[in-house]
Amino acid sequence: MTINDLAIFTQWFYLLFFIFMTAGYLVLNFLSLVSIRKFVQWHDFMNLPPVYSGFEMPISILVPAYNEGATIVASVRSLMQLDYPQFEVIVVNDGSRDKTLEVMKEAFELFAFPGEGPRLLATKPVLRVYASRLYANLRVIDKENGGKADSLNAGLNLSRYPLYCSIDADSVLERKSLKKVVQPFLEEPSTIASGGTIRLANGCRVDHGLLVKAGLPRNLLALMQIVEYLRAFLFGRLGWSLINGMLIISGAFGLFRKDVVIRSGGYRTDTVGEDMELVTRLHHLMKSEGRRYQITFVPDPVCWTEAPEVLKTLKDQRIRWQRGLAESLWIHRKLLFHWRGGTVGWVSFPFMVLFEWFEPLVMISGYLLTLLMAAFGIISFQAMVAYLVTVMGLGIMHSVNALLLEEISFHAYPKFWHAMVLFLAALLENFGYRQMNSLWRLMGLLQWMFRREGQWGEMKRRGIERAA
Amino acid sequence: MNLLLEWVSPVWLTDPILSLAFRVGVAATFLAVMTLVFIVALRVDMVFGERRDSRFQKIWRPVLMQAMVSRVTNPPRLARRDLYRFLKMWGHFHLSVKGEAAQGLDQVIHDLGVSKRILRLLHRRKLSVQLLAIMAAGYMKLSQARKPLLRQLRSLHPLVSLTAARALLHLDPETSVSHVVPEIVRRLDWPLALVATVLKEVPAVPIMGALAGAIRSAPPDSQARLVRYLADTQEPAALRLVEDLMKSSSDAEVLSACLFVAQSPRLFPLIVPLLRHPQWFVRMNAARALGRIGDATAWPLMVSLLKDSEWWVRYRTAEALVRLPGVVEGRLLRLREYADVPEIKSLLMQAMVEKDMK
Repeated sequence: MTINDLAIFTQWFYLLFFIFMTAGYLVLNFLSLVSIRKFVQWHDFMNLPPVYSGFEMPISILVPAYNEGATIVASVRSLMQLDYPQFEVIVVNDGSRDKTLEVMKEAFELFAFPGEGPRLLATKPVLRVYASRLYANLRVIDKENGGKADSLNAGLNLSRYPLYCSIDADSVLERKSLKKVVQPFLEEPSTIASGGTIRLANGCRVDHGLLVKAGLPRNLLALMQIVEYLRAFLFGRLGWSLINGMLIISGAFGLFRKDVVIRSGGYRTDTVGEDMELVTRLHHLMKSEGRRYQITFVPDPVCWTEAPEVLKTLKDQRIRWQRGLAESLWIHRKLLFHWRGGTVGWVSFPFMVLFEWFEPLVMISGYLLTLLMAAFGIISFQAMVAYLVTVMGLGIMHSVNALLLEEISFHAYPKFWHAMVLFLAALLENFGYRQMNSLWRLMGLLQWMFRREGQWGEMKRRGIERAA
Repeated sequence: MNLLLEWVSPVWLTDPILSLAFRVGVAATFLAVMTLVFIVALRVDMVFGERRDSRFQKIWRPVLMQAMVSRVTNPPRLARRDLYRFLKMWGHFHLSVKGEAAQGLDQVIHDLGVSKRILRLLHRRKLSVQLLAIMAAGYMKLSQARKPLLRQLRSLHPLVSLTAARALLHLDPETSVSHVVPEIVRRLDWPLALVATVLKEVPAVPIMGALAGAIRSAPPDSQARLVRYLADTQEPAALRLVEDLMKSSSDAEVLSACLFVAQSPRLFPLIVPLLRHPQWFVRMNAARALGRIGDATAWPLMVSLLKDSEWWVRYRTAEALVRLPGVVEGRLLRLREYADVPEIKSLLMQAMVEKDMK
């Protein structure tokens, strides 16, 4: 094989990879249209004031907190305002080094509470459980530091209800979020988990833990992430949900059937992507037991969270996410083309391996090789430009397509100029942001390969209430 | 210029890789531009829609607010294209109020003379329109809607059929019961909480009696699901059914459901043996039932359950003991103090604190 043959093969490989990858995501977007159609059809009726019967499934909300002293009180207060007939909030202070516990003690008049639950899952020692004199449905667990997964397991031990909702301490939930995210459990009894749509609160007005007005941030990095959330997380997951192939429910907001999660062993404490690992494990468990089940994604924007606005924080986050993804896929590699794997084993798992796991490697090596081949005269300058334009053109089309879906469904950003700014961001994110992201994800992949220790995803926050 | 000419020269089209890349790039750019045009068009349409909404709200919000307090003597004319907007707002108010205010809303929609238009909306394809029309037809007691509603009761779509059931029961509870109850038994896709909401809205006597009769002849797996709807009812037929099922059924799920709704102290002797049932959830619900309807005589039986092998049985028993009618606090404190198992002390303390918090 000559260098020329190798160059031709390389060009074909990368070109076809990008075309197939974009085509795959576009197919997912079009699949998500079915869910969007249902949403548009039902929206007005489902938004009528709820009439509760007392038969709604009660929910335990688990809030793991590590060094969240600045935001935890506002977050818990907003949770207490949720519109749902029966729920409890369990905050798990995972050995915070700041004043997370102290501020809660003062704000909610906490007192030592006798009871830790049935201890179904092993966790780091619980130091004390507290209840609140102000809110009968609030409990706080103070435990030794063990990570987010360990905290969720401790919360599961104390929870009393058949469904639990895991949320991040800095999440801002809409008042009707529980009502919306529980809907799949009511409509389809075989539902074992449902994920809510996460939106970015940067640029939005948040008052007393509740979202008052949606808006766009001035920070370019946050703006790019809004487009990215629409493109990759919202419409991608909606598409997977339709064929019951969703492998990720964000740790920021997900509702699960407790008995199934307990049966599967709870959260694994030795992975950084405990949220994805759990969902993949639930698929694995249900498939291997041959049970009928459903894991659903709820398209309504129900949970808002703060995106990193600093490059370093974003980099750490993406490295952690990629490590989590790699770990989960590796742990459950037997699902790949498993004879009982169904849509997960034969479609979504291979898709994730190809276009999420290996994508950063292909992306970065593709850019490098194209530049090198052009530099050494193996391909012409025009060819190099053509490839770059094609890759970016496909990327823009994918991003803009997600914006279109947003327009015909949720249009969470109401102003005319919001749409135009998002369109510009959809163009811009293809010139640097996506490439940078791929590079970080490649670093995550390498970290996973060399097994570097993971830790709590600490994030420098501006604070959502001040993010506007 | 030369560079540009070179770029658009046939090399783009003769080299297969470059040709593919070129075509894909052009197609992607073209689609992105078209998408932008479409987004702008959608936004413009949305702006006009919002203006219409705003004008509509200015006129109709005060009218509906007044209707909830007193009769609106001369309501404005409702434009044909605003009927859906009106139903949304009207439905919103209707589900937020009860009694005379709700009757006032029914009156105003009658006075508007839109019955025929609502009947037409029952057949619209857009689900929200159809569902709002079904709901309005029920509250308005439109007798002409009965036939289409009976058809919609058999719709495969659970929300359409359940909303139709709700409308029929509002329209004419006496005669609709015979149609709705068999559907409640048959439809496994009707969400439990929504069915319970519908049952709460209509007079208990005809529907609970009929439901009790239907449950009696249903298979055990359906019985377990349906018995839960009998919670909170005092209808004699329903109470008799629970008692009979507890006497005759050996199905753990059915027994558990009966214990869940048990309210009569007459059931006490039937509950006691279930404290030793092999299934832990039956034992747990038996303890809870005794906590509601038992008395001090249940004390020794329940105390023994504090050492059950299942944590949930122990916890719910502690809860039930704390709530047991006729038990003084001193007795609980003594039990806690002299308990030979540390966990019993802890569970009782937890239950007592939780009771105080409530």
